Order: sequence, then C-alpha cells, then structure tokens
Amino acid sequence: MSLSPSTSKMLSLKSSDGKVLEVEEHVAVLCETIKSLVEDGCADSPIPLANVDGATLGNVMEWCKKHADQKASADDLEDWDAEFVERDQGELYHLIMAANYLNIKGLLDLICQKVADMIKGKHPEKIREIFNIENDFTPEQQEQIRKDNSWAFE
Amino acid sequence: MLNHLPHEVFLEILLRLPLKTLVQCTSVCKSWSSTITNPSFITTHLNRSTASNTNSNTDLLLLRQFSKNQEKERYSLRLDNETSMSALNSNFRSRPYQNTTSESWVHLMACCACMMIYWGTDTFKYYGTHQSENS
Repeated sequence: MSLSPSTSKMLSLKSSDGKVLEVEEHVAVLCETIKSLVEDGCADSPIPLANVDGATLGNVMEWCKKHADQKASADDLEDWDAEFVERDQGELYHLIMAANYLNIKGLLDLICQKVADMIKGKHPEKIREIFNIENDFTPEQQEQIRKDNSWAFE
Repeated sequence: MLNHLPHEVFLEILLRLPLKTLVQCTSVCKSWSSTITNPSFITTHLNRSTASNTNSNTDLLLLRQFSKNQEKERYSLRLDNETSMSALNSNFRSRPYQNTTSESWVHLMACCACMMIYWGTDTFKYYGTHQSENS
C-alpha cells in the first residue's frame, strides 16, 4: 500500500456531530489513529470519530493538510503554525483533545507549547484568572509556599 | 480548560515551563502543587531540561522536610546551587524544631544524580554533584 500523494485516495471522516469530511488519505494519515486503521485495512467509510466535533475536525485537517504539503519549507510551517494557534481557549482545548485522541504528535506538541507560553512568566493569581482555576489553599498555606520557595517569587 | 485535560497532556504542558514559573505554579492550587512536587515529575523535567540545556545551574531539587514536633511534612523546590543551599540552612536553623535532632529531617526526593541531605544536630550534610561533602 502506498501513502504517497500521487496515489492518494480519499477517506471519509465522520465527526461526533455527524458531519462528514472528505480528506486525502496522505493528509489523514498524519493522525496515527487513522493511519493504523488504514494499515490494518479497517478504515471503514466513513471512519467514525466519536470524540471530535465537526468544527474541530476541520481545523485539525487544515493543519494536517499544511503539514503533509512537501513543498512547505520549515520557516513557512513555523509562521503558519504561529498563526494557527492564535485561538481562544475553547478552541485550543478542543484541538488539544483531538490531537491527543487522533495521536498527532506534531499538533499536540504545538498546542502544548502554546498553552505553556500562556502560563510562562505569569504570577499564580494571573494564571488562576486566565484559566479560571479555584484557589483551594488557605492564606496560611499560600504564605508558607511563598516562604519555602521565596527565591522563585522574588 | 487546564483542569479538564487528561493528566498526561497536562504534564506535557507543565514540562515545557521554565523552572521559576514552575515553582510559582505550586501555589496556583493543590492539584498543581502535588503534580509539580511529584518526584517522578521533577526527574522528568530535569532530564528534559538537561537534554535541551547544558546550563547545570538550572538543576532543581525537591526537598521533603519533616518535623515530628509539628507532625507535618512540607515539600519545597529549590535550585541546586550554593546560595539556595545556604539559604535553606539558615532557614532551618531559625525553625522551632531545630533542637529536635533526628526527629526533624530534610530529604532530597528527586534530583539529577544521587544526592542526599541529612538533617544533623544543627547543620546539613550535603552530598551533591556540584559540591563536595561539607557540613
């Protein structure tokens, strides 16, 4: 079986909300989960993706298409990726869940780095605010952590 | 968002954070604190940052501090360098359980190499890769 672009056939992917997306096989196999199905000859049409909604699947496949394009240079991909992750938290969450479920390491790494960059250098109060996290420490516990790790809070 | 992610994905994000942010993150909430101070997390973070960064000053130590008097344990993260170790030393001397000798102790939970810190009568013995034994 060849997965090269010239011989690539189309695969149908069905999202959790019933939307069907036609994707070239050499693009879809960037998802390791789909690649295994194709290699095992289990890629029924359409392939049901119970954990990915239609909008997210569209975004994921847009990323796969760009990254399957062998003409794209590394610089070009980097710029494109930087723009791709400029999204709100909700979309990033759905993308990270989809990348994890579909086992797309490159996309998972990209979004994890984006979220890490959102945390980086921020104070705990700000991090709680951005990600809507409840502070379950007592003021005394909070103070103790700051004292124990004062070098990091300077 | 973050607290709804699968644990392994959340770890992937935390592992990308620089040391200082990571230590600050221990005060975000209890679940973050226990994740970050987990010895296996520290070891993984250390391995990753040593692999991508040759600057050994970024080594991180997880210390477990125990006082029988107060019957409580505390965990703290520190940079593995001389300044932070001397700060730790004076810090402990000022604590109420300084005279309880063997009933209070500090244990190094995770680090880049085998190192141990023992709480002695009033000083530490520090066996590390960056310093020879001293007390």
